[in-house]
Amino acid sequence: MFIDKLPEKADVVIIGCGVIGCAIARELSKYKLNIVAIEKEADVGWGVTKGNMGVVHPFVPQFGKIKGKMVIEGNRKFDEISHELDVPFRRYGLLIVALTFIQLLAMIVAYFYLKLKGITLRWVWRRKLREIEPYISRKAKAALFVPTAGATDPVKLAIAYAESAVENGVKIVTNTRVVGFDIVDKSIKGVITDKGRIETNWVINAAGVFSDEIEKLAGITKRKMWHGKGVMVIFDPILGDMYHHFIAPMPIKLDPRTKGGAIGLTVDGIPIWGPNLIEAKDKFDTRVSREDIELIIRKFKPLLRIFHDNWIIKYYAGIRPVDETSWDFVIGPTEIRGFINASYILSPGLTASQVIAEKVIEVLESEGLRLKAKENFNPYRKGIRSIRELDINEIDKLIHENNDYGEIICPCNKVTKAEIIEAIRRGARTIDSIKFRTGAGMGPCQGSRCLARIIEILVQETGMKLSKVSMKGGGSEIFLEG
Amino acid sequence: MEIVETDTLVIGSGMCGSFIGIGLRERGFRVSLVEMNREIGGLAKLLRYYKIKIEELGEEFYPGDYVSYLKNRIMELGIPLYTSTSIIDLLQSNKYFIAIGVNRRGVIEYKARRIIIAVGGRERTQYDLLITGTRPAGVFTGLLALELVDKFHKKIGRKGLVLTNNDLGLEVALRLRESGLVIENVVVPERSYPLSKELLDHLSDSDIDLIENNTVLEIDGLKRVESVLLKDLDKDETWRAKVDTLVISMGFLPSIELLRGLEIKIDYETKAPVLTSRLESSIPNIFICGLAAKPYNDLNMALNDSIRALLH
Repeated sequence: MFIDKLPEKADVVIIGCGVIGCAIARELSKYKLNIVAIEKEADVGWGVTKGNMGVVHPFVPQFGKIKGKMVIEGNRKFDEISHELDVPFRRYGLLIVALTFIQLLAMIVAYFYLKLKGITLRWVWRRKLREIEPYISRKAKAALFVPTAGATDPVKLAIAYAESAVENGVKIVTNTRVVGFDIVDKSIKGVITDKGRIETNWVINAAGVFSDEIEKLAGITKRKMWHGKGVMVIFDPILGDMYHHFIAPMPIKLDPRTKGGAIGLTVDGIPIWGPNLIEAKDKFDTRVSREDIELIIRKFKPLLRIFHDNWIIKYYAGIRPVDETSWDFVIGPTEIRGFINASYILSPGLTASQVIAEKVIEVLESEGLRLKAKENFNPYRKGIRSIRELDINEIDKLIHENNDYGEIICPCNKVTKAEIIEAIRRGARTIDSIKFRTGAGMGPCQGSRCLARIIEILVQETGMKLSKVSMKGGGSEIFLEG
Repeated sequence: MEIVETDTLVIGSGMCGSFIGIGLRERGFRVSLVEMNREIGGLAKLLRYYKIKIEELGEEFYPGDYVSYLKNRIMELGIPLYTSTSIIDLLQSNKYFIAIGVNRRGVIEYKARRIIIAVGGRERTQYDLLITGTRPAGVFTGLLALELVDKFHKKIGRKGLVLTNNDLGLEVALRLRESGLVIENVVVPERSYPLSKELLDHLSDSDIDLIENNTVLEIDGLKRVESVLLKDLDKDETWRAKVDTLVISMGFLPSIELLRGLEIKIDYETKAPVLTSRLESSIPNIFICGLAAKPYNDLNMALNDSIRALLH
């Protein structure tokens, strides 16, 4: 699936294989081009993408910005994309709730404003609200219901774009870091990596939280990145029946920087709350503190009458790459000919990923790259089959076709040996790669009951040395020598 | 699809489920045992020093001997045992319960009038304990650490620290020490847990320091653990231990994934099913025992509580 050796030449080089880089790779693979995508990590989707909450936003309040326009189109396209790529997607809908009179007043304004902007929404009074969300706070006066809000799995989406791109001819080189560029007369001539040089006239900077460093390597210095940390808290799946929509408090004052987070559900129906927004120390500062967790619970708990917030199973943080002056996506050409930005993509970049990819194609074409459509582009990609959604007759049949489906490895999420082997066959070489593809180790026990079996299968299937088995690539090995 | 009929189906043939199954068979019930692993015995298979004390038999076993005892009794009594079989769902018809099992041969439907859920627990993770900071490799729960060392005969780290509040953690520290991992300290978050004298002696013979009334607050390190931040609860001071491995053995929470299908009542505060003193759940004729019944720190306590409730 992924390759280790850097090719010598490419028509286009994409730097960074997060959900944006992978979406661009797939979109470019619709044309007769030789495309190489470079990723510094062992797998795709491990940067900004991994730190995402998985919300497919219906809109963001900044309608005038690029992100404000792209998110609406992106949301609209999500059914088609998730269908083509066989990625989980559910439209839960969003309830913006007013608990106070001031919030109620603000909500009246918001209702008409959003209507004016063409957003599909309904006003829901208290009684109806209690019907659809029995555990909603007794103080809740009314809510705005936005039916198009949804959830997807961000890393699975990045993987799906990547698999589809590879199927259509893109080469993805992992564990490779860009260290410089060959620039002659302000034009890109090549990319220099820690694995050698690749000749190209076109570079797309989709390096997420490292977008600024990639720009600097090309001598572009006009933007400054701010690192906005967001913490997410995940609860036990047993609490997944306590609410059925995304629920957010009606903001009184709009913070231009953030939508403010919400009580949410993962696409598998597991409660996830967050994110907050605080300044990260640097690009690697994904630390979570107790205060972060307490703050999130204090902020969102009043929305519900009952919630057992003692039942946390996991917390994590992501870093948003923010262009300090615009707080917007940076998509377009630069003063270096051939160097195209798809960078500083913060939320709602996940929702907009397909739209961003299409925009990048437009930019490339107007900058002079000649595009010729392929006749044999295959838009469809299949995900890994699981027994979770099947009835018992289907499971029985599946086990008869492949008896590895009869061996449950992860008891929390009912992940079978067959899925783990398939993930490895599709390129997973680390424990996290297997986890993100199959869900094994993502349940309440956080892998403590399945890690040993997964290592065993990984070693059996690949012949990999035990000393090379790692959680997330070099430096995170599980067994230490000496 | 195979169909198996029985009176009592015991789901999980670990330390508790096997013993209960044997006890019920001895009392004349028709029992079948299901086990997801290749072999029965559950956690006992991982242990070596921890003494299993069965009050009913008035006997103490080393874990290996206990597993042999269970295996022999199951064979002698001819109890049907389905190994390598996972139960993925529970359903109810008017006359009986249906447990959906899967194994490499396909789906098995077990029809039973009574179900005993003995699926065990999961060890508390750093998240259950709200240990914050970073999320690198090198953090293990105690039994996972033992499983890795047993299975692969490799060191899971160079220098480590064990956080525990029970005898199991002491065994984990000793066994990891034997594997070559230098255990800097065993940290016990409170004083006066009833720890086994024998294991404590063994610990000091192995030059492992026990630090009482301290706890772990934060983990540091980007890819692998680099250090952990601890708190001395007496002095109310924090201190840092430079280790590459943190092993957490802070007791168990019940496995509840099987309870969702039938909507068996759960106490959300204790994170355990609601049970009568006879360990019967909110659905009559479904019993839950062992580590699946409630949060336990000690295996012997879980085992003996269940034996008392179900076999007397």
